[in-house]
Amino acid sequence: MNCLGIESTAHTLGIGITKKEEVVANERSIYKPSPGKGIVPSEAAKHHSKTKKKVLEDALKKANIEKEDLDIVAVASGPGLPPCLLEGVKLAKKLSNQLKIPLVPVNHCIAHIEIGKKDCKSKDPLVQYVSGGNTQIISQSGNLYRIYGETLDIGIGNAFDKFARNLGLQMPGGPKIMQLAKKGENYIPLPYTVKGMDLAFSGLVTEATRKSENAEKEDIAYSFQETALSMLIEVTERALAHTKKEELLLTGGVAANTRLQEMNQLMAKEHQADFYVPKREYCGDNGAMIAYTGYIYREKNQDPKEVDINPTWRPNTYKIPLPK
Amino acid sequence: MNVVYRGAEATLYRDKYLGIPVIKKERKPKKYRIREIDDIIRKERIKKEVKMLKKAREVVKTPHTLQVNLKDHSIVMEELEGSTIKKRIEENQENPQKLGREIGKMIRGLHDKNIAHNDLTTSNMIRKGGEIFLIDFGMAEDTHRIENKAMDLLVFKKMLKSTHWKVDREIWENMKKGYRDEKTIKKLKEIEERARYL
Ligand SMILES: Nc1ncnc2c1ncn2[C@@H]1O[C@H](COP(=O)(O)OP(=O)(O)O)[C@@H](O)[C@H]1O
Ligand SMILES: [Mg+2]
Repeated sequence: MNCLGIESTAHTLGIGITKKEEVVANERSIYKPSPGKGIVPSEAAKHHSKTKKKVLEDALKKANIEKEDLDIVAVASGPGLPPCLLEGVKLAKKLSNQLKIPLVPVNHCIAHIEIGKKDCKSKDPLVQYVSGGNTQIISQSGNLYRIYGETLDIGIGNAFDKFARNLGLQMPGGPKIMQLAKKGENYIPLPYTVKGMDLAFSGLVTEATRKSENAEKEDIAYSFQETALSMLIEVTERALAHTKKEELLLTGGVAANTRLQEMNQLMAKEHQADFYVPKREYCGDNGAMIAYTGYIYREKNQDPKEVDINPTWRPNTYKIPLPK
Repeated sequence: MNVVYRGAEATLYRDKYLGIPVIKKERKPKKYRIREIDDIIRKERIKKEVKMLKKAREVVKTPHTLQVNLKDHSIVMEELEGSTIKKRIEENQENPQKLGREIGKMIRGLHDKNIAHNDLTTSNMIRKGGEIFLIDFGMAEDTHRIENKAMDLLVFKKMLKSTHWKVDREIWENMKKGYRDEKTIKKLKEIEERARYL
């Protein structure tokens, strides 16, 4: 059984293919905003529209199959930016109609979790899902993924990027801040906002930007990163103690931050929890995670006519199929 | 002294103080964060906890603080012999309707006193001798702002949804009946509508 998965919720247009549970292709093309700018949804959508034919061909070639060999098509129909989601859904519907194969709408956050679990052989983790737009602490209880904590304003990735832009750094800002932070030595106190298991980053970005005028770039980057990540680890630790889970899985684009990995490792160890990070290609947005999730959730297939984008789709509303 | 609980923030030990059973709550340094942040947070939280425990005691049940040690960031308080509301819900020992109302009244009392607890979870509520005691005031704040009170309710609502998903609605609906402050509830609605997670 071959499943094709389409990811287009934000910057990345990704197409992956799975043969049963095995990933056989994971191709992508990433939209880059113009220098000094954040993502412009309509521009990103244009990029996806322009590159989808090529990425699809590459994926089929990589998997060494023909279009006609596909059995299921899965698409990330949310959460995400509406114009970007539309491109993916359009392509998925077209393939589903053309090839007369079922269409499975997949929740983007859940796909990150499922591929992470598979890649790390983790069974029942507490998940720290951190990307540009999303920052959530999620875990399964009953037949749903529950959200224990999350950002109340912007995603942590966007907070890094925004702060980087304010410092006049080129995109992508996150990695630049991380590099600068390595050379920082002096901690400059910054606002630390945690409410229960939720957190917020806007105040931190504003204040760090203000204080950057009278500070070394390295020091302010260091202080910003340490503050943001400490907040994140604190709420994750609270959720870990609260849920008593024995595994911690870090995923999403921001998982590439090595300081974040290190902090999670230290925290998990104190709670005797195993710590996992999936391979880089599965942390960032990718098509393989959509294909894999579409395959394991395949009984959720829908009539293509009924599938629509779902820009604010919460992962805690999507029933997890019981193992067969 | 034996460890009774290793939580997210603190380690708790059972001990005796002047012959009575007490709990020592110690905020140990966290290896994952830098010294500067660790110091600020541990100091601030323990000071807040002591101050707000005392202030809250005028309107809700809280354990008495017997000793504060700023050096090892610990406080010694009376031990509440009972179990957390979380555990009691999980063991079906609570009537969700009655409980919701009781919690509502309790939170209203705090808010009228201009206290936002900021970590309202069922692990921070202990039932002892028929009454609910509220603990863990390290993140509490002195505030008259309605937004902060609404946020306090939101933390509790979301916690119910993730953790007590079998009875969350029943508890929440009754919480509102016990709380009975339409203005703050309305503010909460506004915040939820504005938020991304609706
Ligand atoms: N005074 C007390 N008497 C009895 N049990 C307590 C007392 N204080 C705390 N506990 C128990 O320890 C747990 C953790 O304490 P808490 O103050 O909430 O620390 P944390 O900040 O780590 O959550 C509580 O959920 C409760 O089970
Ligand atoms: Mg607590």
